[in-house]
Amino acid sequence: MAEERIFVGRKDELEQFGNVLKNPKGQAVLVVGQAGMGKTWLVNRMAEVAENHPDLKCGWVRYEVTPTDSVDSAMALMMDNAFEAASTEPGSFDNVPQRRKQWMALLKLGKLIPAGKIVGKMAGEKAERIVELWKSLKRDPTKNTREQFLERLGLISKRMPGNGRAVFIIDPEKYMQKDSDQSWAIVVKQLPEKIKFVFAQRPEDVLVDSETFGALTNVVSIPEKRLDVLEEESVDELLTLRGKGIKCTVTEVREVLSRYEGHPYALGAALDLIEGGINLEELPEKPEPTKFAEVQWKELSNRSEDAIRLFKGYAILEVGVPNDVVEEVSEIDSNIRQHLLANKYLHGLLREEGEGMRIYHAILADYILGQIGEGEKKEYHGRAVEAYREKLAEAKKEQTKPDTLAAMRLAEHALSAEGAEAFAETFANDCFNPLRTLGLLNTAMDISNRILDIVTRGSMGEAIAQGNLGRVYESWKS
Amino acid sequence: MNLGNLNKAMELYKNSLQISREINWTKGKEACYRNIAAIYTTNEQLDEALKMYQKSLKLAEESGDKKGIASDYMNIGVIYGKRSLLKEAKVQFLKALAIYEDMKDLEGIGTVLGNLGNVYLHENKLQDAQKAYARAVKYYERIGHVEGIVKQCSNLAVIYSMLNRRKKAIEILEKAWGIAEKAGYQALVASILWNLGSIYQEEGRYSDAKEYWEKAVEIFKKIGMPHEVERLERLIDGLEKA
Repeated sequence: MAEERIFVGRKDELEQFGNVLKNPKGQAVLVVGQAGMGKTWLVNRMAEVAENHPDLKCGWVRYEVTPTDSVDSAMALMMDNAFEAASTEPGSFDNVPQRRKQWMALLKLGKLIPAGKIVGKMAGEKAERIVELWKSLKRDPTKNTREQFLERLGLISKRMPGNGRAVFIIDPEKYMQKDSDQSWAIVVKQLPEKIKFVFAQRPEDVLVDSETFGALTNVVSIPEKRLDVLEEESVDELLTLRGKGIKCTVTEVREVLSRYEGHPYALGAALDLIEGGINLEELPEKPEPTKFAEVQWKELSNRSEDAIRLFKGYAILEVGVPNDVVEEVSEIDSNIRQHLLANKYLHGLLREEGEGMRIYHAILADYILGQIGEGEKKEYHGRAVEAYREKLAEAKKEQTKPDTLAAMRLAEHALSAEGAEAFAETFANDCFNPLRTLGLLNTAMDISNRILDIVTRGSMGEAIAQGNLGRVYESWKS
Repeated sequence: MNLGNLNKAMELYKNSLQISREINWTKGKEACYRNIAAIYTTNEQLDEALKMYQKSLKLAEESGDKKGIASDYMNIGVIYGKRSLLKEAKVQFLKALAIYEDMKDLEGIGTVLGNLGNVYLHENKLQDAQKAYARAVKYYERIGHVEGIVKQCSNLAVIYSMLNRRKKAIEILEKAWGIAEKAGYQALVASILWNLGSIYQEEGRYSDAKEYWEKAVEIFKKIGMPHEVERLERLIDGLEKA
């Protein structure tokens, strides 16, 4: 898992981030680097720096956004998570335990929930005041999402001590949604004191060359330009820290690693592969990420057919998914999955995210997707459709809260499995009502607009999408 | 309700209807007629709404869409109810109820029972209304439908209040208040506070009534429901003058 990966270097960047934290001004930090240059490593480390700061009390939450997530959807999800973290009885936030932990720490810091207690369990006058405050975190899906989000940030800022800081890390899955820079710029421009946003960006992502975002005076680039390769000293440190688990001599490994000129993805992948028992001569000659993904995949494929199916399943599902979903999509039973992931090398290719696990890096996930034939891809997506559809149908039958991930992802898989008309129909029949129940009207609107963009004019798909959009507007009060 | 958004919704439904007509897609037309009818009902354009529901009903009957048929019967009943045609409304509600019962659609049954309760209330058949609302609450409780539970509890409380059983009415409203609070339904909380205030007013406990109404005003203001604010402020004014 990424959380267990060893982090080295980037001392200057972390020091700069420490200075940003010291400044109470509401600010955004931009971390720009090519794929594989270690942006996620750095932003995770920034979270640790914040958490362990000797003079400041910092809380942080981390979110991944995909190219199909609008800014409003991301903010709506954050607000829902905050409300749920503050309000739920133990057990009802089990799907995303790490996120609940992050939010609870942040809300406690903002004195929005009392330390060590669950709001629902409290009694007395003081509890009433806290309950009142907690209720002010509840999002109203019929009102402007951005305004509500800024209000929540203002509330957190106001209630935090003078040395308190709240850090929001936005780490895109490859890229952010096209044209989302305008909306993020509006939010960043109005960031209240003590609130820090950290954005990880590939050089071609939307915030990097955005004129609107670039014109903001409260944005700090760390480093000033782009993330570069690791220095030799850091590579040595990495080797020292990870050398214990390696059977070859340090000299041999150092020589091999020197080929990779400090490229973080190549170094991490090479050390994983060496630890996994690969012969040194099988490692790529150059630090090209795709070459590494090729070797990683080959090494994974050598394990078993089950391992191949499991990782194809993870690649198809794209986001962090619960175990039962990946088992159904990969057609692997729970025991086999657990057996496979008991292997350190295979487990190291995954990381925790959102409601479960996903492939640790987009470079490897993309490579695996490239290894799946078109027909096979459709089969995997078809099984994802079934898995998510089953979850939503069960919630409908049992009259329980719909599964958020299923409501958001089902239609995407229907699109890949069966095309645009199925995308429209699945969204209308299976996803729209759950999204509306969950108050995710922005997501419903985003998907409806995407459907309108891709369906044939004058088709059933267009009729469905127009009707759905109408239902979104009808639900919206203001 | 923001009229701009309702107009936009209507425009999109009409676009959808046009395409559905062009490709002769029955299910699409049926859904559009029903959606358009709902907007007409909200806008109190009852003739237009009725015409649209009749169209969706015809298509639902042709395709054997039971849920659609039940929903149309119920909504037509609501329109008759709005026009005080209580007998006709009841006929529609009972037709819808039979279908929902056959389908074991608990939410549908709860909704129809609530509507039937409203008809009995207008007919001044308080015992029948009480039974209908109480049954509706039970169905909603089985499926955990918070909004349904709270609304029907409020209706039940109105009946108890009319039967001079104010203590029971307050007990029910307080139960509904707890449920609505926990679920974060602010509009429902405000309307319960309104009802509680009204009961206290009937009991001559004017300062309690004022306190609850003021709390309700505060919530309605916060969630942007100006008509309710205006109506309650008039009531508070009246209390102060009295």
